[in-house]
Amino acid sequence: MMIDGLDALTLARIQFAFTVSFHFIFPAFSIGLASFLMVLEGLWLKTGKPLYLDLFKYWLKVFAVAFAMGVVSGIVMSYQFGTNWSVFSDRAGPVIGPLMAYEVLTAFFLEAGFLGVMLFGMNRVGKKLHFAATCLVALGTFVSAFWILSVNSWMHTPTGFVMGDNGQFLPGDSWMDIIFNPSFPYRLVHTVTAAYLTTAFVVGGVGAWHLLRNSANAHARKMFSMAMWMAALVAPIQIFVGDLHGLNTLEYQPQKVMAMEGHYDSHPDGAPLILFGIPDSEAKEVRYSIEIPKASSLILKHDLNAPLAGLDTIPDEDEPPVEIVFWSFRIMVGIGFAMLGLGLWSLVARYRRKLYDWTWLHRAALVMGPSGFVAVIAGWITTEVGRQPFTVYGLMRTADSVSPLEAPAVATSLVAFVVIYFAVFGIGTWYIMKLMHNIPHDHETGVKRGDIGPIRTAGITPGPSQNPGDRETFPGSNRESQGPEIVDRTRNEEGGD
Amino acid sequence: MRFDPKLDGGETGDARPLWQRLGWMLAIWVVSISVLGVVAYGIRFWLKG
Repeated sequence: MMIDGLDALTLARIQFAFTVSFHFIFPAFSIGLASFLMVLEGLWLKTGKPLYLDLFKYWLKVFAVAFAMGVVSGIVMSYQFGTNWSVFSDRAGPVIGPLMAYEVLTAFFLEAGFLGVMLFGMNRVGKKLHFAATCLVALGTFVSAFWILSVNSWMHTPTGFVMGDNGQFLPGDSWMDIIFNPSFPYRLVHTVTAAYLTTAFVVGGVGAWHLLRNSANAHARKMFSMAMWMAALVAPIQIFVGDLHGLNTLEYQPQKVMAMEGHYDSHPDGAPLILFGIPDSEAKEVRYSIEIPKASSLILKHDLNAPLAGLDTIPDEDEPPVEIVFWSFRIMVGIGFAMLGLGLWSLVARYRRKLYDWTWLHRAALVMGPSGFVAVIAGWITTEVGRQPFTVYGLMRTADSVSPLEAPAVATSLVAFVVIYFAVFGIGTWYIMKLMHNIPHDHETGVKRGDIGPIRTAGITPGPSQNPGDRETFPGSNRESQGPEIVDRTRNEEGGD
Repeated sequence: MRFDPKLDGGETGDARPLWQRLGWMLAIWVVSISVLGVVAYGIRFWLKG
């Protein structure tokens, strides 16, 4: 077996990396999707246009599945603190325990509780209370992110604690110093914005997919237009916030930035920006590097000649794994700029009135659909691997945090997680893809088209389609088949954007 | 309780008195978190096992 020969610590780290990577995909999607649903339902109540309700129904089903998988995978992770990381939990528990409890309480009592009302309650509680439930779910996803990112940020920039005689981290005078630790505001904004962008690109990708099949589909037009507005407006904000987050990291976790930049050596007269290269931690150099002289100093210090320390100033045993951090950072940044590019392209298309007809734009949006997930995972790897070899930065090593377990025990549970996660979440993800493959249409229901009702009247006379623009319903030309109502509304949608 | 994926029952819901709508909201909320609690305990027992 491949995992033979690995010690319990390495296996526990692999297990946590595996479970957190799986888990992070779902809240990264559901945080943004909850807010999107809130906007859609709010627009429906405000304007009375059924198109918004159709889109709300369409994405609510996706949200319910994504949320369920996020909660289940999150529960596993919280238990993992006890099974594999009991020493860490024991020592850091007095500080992070209450914050994690708030996160769980928020997930249970706001998100999960009111999701039930969203799914089951419209005909029981009425429109306004239903909208209130939607808002509370959206609020819950944000508050949940607030607490868990506060915990995570404290592990990067621990403040507000006192060290107990037994080696425990104990709360100091003010919980505010713990909650609002130095990296928290930047990480919160950067991560939540990433979640919004992730959702926007999924929605945009799905809209583009359906526009490629039928560019007159009003529902696809609306979701594509809304997503592209998000891309154009939020991607540049995210790049700016990411820069601020990087400057904060340079101040509090300099060796993480050294690894991100691939700076093995110090540069007293201005450090180059290494665009690409192959880091070699044995030789302590970046091979075949393509560099922009002094640009790193300009970005990080706003001065071309500002000195920047390198990993040569850090003891070897305190260095993070440079190769992983170097590459994951470039993947995240590369995707961020690709998102910005797509957003700008959509503005050009909008200006030229080709937003719904520019096939290459739709193809690009389709390809970029899952890019947000890759970016958030890459970003998460950058920040978490960059914190190594510590769990609590500078104070508690990862090697000292693991439970006293034998390797076979961790290996067994790791194999079980891999098998079950791929099976359960594979099915869930497949189902989400299936839902998104369905063409958004009038009177969205979520049941199969064949279950909606007859698409033909009795006899041989073709009946009106319940799903205008669906090629399965109209195998021939879609546009000719849709009738004036759809075309007129489409024009209205264009004007409404 | 009927699953309402169509979400077309807004008018029906609005016709109910406020106390009834709030009561339904509370009831659905309690059932929802109870279901999640059962799932959480199920996973806990699985991991402990």
